[in-house]
Amino acid sequence: MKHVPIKLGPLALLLTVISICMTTLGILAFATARADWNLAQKYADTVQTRYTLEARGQGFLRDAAKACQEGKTLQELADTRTEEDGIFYKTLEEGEFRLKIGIVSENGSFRVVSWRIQREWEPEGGLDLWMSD
Amino acid sequence: MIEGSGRTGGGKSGHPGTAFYIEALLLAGVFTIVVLILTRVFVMSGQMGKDAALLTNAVHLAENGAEAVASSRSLEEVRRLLEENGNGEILESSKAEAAGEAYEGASGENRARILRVHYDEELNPDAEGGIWMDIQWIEPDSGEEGLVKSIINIYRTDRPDPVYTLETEVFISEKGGQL
Repeated sequence: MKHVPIKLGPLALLLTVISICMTTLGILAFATARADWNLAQKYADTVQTRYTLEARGQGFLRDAAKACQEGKTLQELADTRTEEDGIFYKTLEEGEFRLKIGIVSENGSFRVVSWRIQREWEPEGGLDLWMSD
Repeated sequence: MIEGSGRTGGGKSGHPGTAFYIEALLLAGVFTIVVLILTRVFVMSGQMGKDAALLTNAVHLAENGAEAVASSRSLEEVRRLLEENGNGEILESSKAEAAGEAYEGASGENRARILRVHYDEELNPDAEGGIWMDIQWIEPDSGEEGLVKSIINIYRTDRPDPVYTLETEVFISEKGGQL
């Protein structure tokens, strides 16, 4: 019976290629999962900040109601700005978010006419786009 | 030359030699280690992906709860907004305390009550679901104007700590409804 000699060279090469492919897949899987986790964390933090701001805004409404009950005017509320249309604006900031509340005086009380949550955003500058000659 | 020590064995005989065995063993060992490490990496990645999906779902639920709180005047109204197929229950203080719930901010008896709403893994309303949202409704001390604090916790059966916690407040005017 004839024995066929086994050579390890090609086998080693095959296992190396398999290892490299699997390592690449592993790195990609890990990077994707990590990116997902970071995105979920960012979303969670954003919602947290938004509702913290919301709570502060509700606190401002309580202060406004208290002021009205005590017979004070809305102008006396701290850090408010009155615009030409007679709306009193209060701006609250939390992280990158800003809440702008607008209230108007009405029959010894007040009414909310604006409640806007905005986020500071600046377009990325310095983009080197290819321009044809 | 040592006989039988070649990589392919002992010359014409075709029998593998010592060097061959050592090399094969090393190759198998290294490959096994690589496979084990990669298996661990894949398992970790899978778990991290699941955690990310769970956190995202928990945040969605908490947002829904916070919006329901923002548009309600009482915990019963929040329950009416969120309950489907009997998946909601209000825990009275004694029951909640027995369950070991936190009563942050509660100053008096029955000042804080909890609405518990159950969901399944797909976040469909399910009275027996393994994911639930606890909404604490903490009324202000007497004398203070109605600024109700609400702490929303999302839990899952296999985790002792909340997956996500969201705090919010809502001003309820005595002159009727929120402003």
